[in-house]
Amino acid sequence: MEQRRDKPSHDPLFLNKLKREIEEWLREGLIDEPLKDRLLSRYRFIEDTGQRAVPSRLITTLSVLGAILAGLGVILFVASNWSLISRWGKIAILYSSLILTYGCGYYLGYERQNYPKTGAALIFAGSFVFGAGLFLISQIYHISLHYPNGVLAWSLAVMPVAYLLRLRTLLSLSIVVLLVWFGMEASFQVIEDERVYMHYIFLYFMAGITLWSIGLMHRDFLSLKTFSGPYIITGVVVTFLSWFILTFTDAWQNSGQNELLIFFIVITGLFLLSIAFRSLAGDNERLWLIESISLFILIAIVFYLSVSAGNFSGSSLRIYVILSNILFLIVTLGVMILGYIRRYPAYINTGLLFFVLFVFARYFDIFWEMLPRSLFFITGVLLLLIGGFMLERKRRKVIRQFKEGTDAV
Amino acid sequence: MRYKFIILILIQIFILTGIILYREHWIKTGTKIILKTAPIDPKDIFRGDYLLLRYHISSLDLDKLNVREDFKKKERVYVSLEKADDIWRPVSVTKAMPSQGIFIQGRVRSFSESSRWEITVQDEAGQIVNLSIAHSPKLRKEDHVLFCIDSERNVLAFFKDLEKTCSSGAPVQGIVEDVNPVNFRRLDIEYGIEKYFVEEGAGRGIEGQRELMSEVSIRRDGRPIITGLYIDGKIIR
Repeated sequence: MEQRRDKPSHDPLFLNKLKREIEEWLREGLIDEPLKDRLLSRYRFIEDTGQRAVPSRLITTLSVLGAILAGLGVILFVASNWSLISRWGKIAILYSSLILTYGCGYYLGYERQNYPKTGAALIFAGSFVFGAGLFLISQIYHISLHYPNGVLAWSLAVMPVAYLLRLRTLLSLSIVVLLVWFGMEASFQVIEDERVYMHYIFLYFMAGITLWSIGLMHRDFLSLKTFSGPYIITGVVVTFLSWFILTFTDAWQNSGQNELLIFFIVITGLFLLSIAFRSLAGDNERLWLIESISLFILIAIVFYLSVSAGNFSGSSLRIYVILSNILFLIVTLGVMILGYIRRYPAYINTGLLFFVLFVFARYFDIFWEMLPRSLFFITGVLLLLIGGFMLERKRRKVIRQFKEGTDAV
Repeated sequence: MRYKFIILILIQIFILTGIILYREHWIKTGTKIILKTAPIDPKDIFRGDYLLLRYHISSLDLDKLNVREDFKKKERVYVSLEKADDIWRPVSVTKAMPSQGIFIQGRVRSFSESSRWEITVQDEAGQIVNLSIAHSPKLRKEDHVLFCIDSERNVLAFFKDLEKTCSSGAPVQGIVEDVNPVNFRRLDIEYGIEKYFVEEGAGRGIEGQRELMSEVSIRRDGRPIITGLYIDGKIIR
């Protein structure tokens, strides 16, 4: 175990990035060949493990699937023998499977280090067993009112494990569970008619922007950079998804009284904190200030809309929808451009996806009534085929260029 | 790292243990009461693997309880209870926590003006019986009807065809003397004890039961937790 402490991260993705960096350092004359070899030899064990574990992606996928199935198996076993197993029996099964999965995972992946992927998958399964345990307890005690706290506990208890073991899949689980909790807790607080969903769109919009900004903050700190992906990807997707809904005229509702004010304040507070931390980081990315200011303006607009108890109808609705569409287009394009400048595939891929969705939605809105049906479909299909082909070609080319390390723009 | 990992896992175990101990303490120290209940829809008893229970305190007639206050959705309320024939019945609803007596805490599901129909029936023995039904019964005076009623004289089902029999509830056969709609202020409350988790398929035996009893443990602040379900006088936990 003491030896382990001297060994750095054994994440293969990290090694790939490091190799590229080292080549860069060598070219710039920061290091020489012997130093390069010495640096790489420190991480040779990752390569050895990686070669034995080829193809690694398949193994990760299978391991994660296996982990989820094992977790489900425990729940189903308890559920189908509900009355046969006493209350304490159920709890004993829960505790022993929790300790067993975590223990095996840690031993294989981190003590012996020869099965890193299986180890990580077992720890992922352990986190599922923990979540299942929270629900099992709610069933044992027949709790039906206000159990979102259990979901929050799940997310918050899993997150530090993800950071400690540097597991991005686990962090993604924690973030997704946190987003689910947001919705559950908000629906518990909203007193109005259940059909009013506007609060939730605003809530997720702001939560998306904040996650995005937290991800960017992670990118600015070298030790946290590995964790930026799950935050940025979920953040960007949730932001654009909520926003995409608001580009449709019919989606807007009068939100009326706002009971989620405290949520909006907390989310905005977290957002501002992430910006503050970003400004403290010494080594910021290119255009970070413009990016942060844009996100700030965006969250300020959504905050204003959500607390103004807006009356979204008539001419004011028209203005909101037009502005929402124009801004959506600008921001998706902006994100793609930033992706090119920074060589960041996540930005290009999500930006492109929502840009295409947007173009199609507006094509349907505008031309459905105007064109004869046959012409509408022919034009639509042609637009789809040619546009899709060109965009995909460009996207692949750019991402390949990133991987090869040549300048993309 | 090993010790940090062990600490994090211990925290998870403490969270689970904390919830269990908290609930166990609640069960041990709370006041035990018995509430009358019924599955919401006895024909479709299972939604997933739990029973959805509806209590006789789930829907309150505020006019009957002489409560004049108005309520908001999701507002926290306290229903004071009194024991009569082993069953606890509602006597009042307040927004503030009562300083004494037994009471149960819940949240307002809805507050509305509602109607029910009072039916006056002359039974076969010539006695006048007053019954109550939630929906418009579309009955006229002089109709010969078989009613199936619960112990609170609520009509569970009725048949104009007198050959039929009651599948549940007690039968009352007679001639309708009067049908009157009655408006009242209705408060629907959720207590957090509306789900009873059972093994899949185990609810078939409960299906025919129109009246179940729940054993509930109430904390000092009125929050309830189900500790058992009485079926035919036998408790399952």
